[in-house]
Amino acid sequence: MDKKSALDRIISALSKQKQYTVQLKNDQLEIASANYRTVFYIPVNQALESFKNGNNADDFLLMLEDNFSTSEIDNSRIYPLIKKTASIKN
Amino acid sequence: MNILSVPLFCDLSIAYAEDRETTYHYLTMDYGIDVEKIEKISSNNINSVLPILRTIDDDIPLFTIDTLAAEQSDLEASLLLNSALKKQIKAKIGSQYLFCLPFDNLLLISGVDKVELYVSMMSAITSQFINSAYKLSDNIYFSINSSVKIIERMNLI
Repeated sequence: MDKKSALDRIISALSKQKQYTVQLKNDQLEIASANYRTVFYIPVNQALESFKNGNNADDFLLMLEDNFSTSEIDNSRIYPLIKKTASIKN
Repeated sequence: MNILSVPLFCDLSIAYAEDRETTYHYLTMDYGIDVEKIEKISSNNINSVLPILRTIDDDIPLFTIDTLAAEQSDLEASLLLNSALKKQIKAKIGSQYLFCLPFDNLLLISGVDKVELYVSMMSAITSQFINSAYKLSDNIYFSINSSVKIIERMNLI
C-alpha cells in the first residue's frame, strides 16, 4: 500500500469514529477528541508507521484510545507552547 | 475544536498543552478552563525548567539552549518564554538580539552586530534539519527592548 492510500485509510477510519475529528495540516495529522476536549498532533510518518502492519486502522485507534484514556489534566504538566498562529487556528 | 491560545507577537501565539510524554495534548476552548489560571500555572511550569544559554561553538557567537533534563529538549523553542533564559540573554547578548525557532526543539539566538552573518548561519543550521516533523516558523525575528518584528524569511520550510 502506498503512503497516500495508507494515509487516506487512516483519515477515513478516524472520521467514522464520532469521538474524533481529523485534519491533515502540513505534515501532521491534527486529531481532536470531542470526549476529552483536547487536540494533539502526530507526524504523518509516525501515523503511517503505526498503520503499516495491517490493512485496517484498529491498532492506530487503540493507540489513540490509550493516548486519550487519562481525561484528568495534570496541572503540573501544562506548558505554554509557542506556535505559529496560523497552525492552531481553524 | 478551537485550541486555547493567546497572541504572542508577529505571527506567533502561545497555545497551552499538557505534556503526555509521547505527545502534547492541546487544551481547547471547550474545556471550560479559567484562562488566567492556566496562564499562571503554565508560566510557573515553564519557569521551573532550567535552561542554559550556550554558544554552538567556542568561536561562533551564535547561541542555543541546553536543558538539564533531556525530556525537556522538545520544549526548546518555547523556552523563549522562560524568565531565567530571558535574564541570560540580556546578560550574555543584550537587550537587542536576533532569534529563530524553526522547529519545536530548536532555538537559535544571536547579537545584532553582524546581522547578515547571523542570518546566514541560522539558515544554514536550519537547513540541516529540514525534514523534521516539528516545523514551527521559517522567520528570523529581531527583538529590541521586548518589541519583536520579523526581519528575514529563510524560505526553508
